[in-house]
Amino acid sequence: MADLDTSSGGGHGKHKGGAKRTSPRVDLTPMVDLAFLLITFFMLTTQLGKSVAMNLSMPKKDPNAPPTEVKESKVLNLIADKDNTLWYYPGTTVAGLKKTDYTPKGIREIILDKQKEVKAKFGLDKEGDSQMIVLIKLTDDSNYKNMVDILDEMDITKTRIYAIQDIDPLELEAIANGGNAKTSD
Amino acid sequence: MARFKVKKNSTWVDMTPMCDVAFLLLSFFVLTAKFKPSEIVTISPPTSSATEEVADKFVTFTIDKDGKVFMAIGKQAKREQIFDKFFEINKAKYANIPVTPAIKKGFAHQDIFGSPISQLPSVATKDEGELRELFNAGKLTGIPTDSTNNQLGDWIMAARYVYAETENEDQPPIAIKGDKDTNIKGVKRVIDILKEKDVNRYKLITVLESGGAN
Repeated sequence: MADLDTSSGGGHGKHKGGAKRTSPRVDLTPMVDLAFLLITFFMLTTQLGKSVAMNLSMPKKDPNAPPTEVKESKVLNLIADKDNTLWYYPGTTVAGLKKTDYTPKGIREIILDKQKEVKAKFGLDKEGDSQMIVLIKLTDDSNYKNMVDILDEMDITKTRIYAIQDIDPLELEAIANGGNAKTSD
Repeated sequence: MARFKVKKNSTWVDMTPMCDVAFLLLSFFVLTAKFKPSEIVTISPPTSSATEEVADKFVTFTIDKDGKVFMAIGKQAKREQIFDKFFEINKAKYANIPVTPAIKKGFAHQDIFGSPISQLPSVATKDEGELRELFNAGKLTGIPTDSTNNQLGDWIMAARYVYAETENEDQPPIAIKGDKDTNIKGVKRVIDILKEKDVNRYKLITVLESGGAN
């Protein structure tokens, strides 16, 4: 078809012994290469940058509902602060806040460690998930990416019980104080 | 003259059919690829490992870097319904807004709405290019969310009513889309309003994480 075969391979022998005629047959291999390269490129780029949705369920508003009692040792607090810093502390007493970051080595390790600790103490729940409770707090200086990162981490570590809460003034104080709770006097 | 020469088999493979197939596939992918809808409000959402695909039916509240809130109703048929509902349930409140069929039609044609309702008559008649100009000039101020003038809440209520009546869904398919750098205060405000209006389940729009970095 597209190969123009006018080579003097067979038959006529008119030019016998004359200068060799170059074949105008075009090698299409590079063109095929290019086409497949483009196909691959388009297929890959359509996958990237695709929007995906993340589910978020919040508790129903019910002003009369009593605050849920939780075991202190199941709780892990994560506080997203400015400039992608993340503070964390276990339990319900604001003390000994430590800094970490959003990398798998940072936040994920901490969550998984706490999960192990909770598992050793309380076992798993009926569905086989950890009973750890993560309380997510976001300071006014954090951004939307921080929130999505933490929620994504909940999904990755299969943490089922978490809540986004308002930040406690004590926690703000502790952060301002470099992680240590303010001594009472 | 050697008339009967033994024909030598050529090793040359004809690449033409392969080339044809390759380009056919290429054109197929190029043509079927959905163009990214040209967005008036440019947002670069954070990445996540979520897998659920974004559906057309979402009512998306976009929060841009400055914390301005925009509303994008995916289905055009729903736009008119939500628009009607909005004025039906807030008749007294927005009685001074002239609602003409032209304004309604204009609203239904716009992919994204992000103005106080008082500006509706002037904004609804704009086309996409004009809206983009307005946005770039900072003239699209977003839907007001302050507690004294909570128009966002009214829009959410209108969406809830429409989805409850037409689709029998208690929770409308609401999604929140924010920029990576959107301050959390704006997002929290929208979440609070959603909570106030008893919308407890919604989606966060993110983009697929590229590669296996983590």
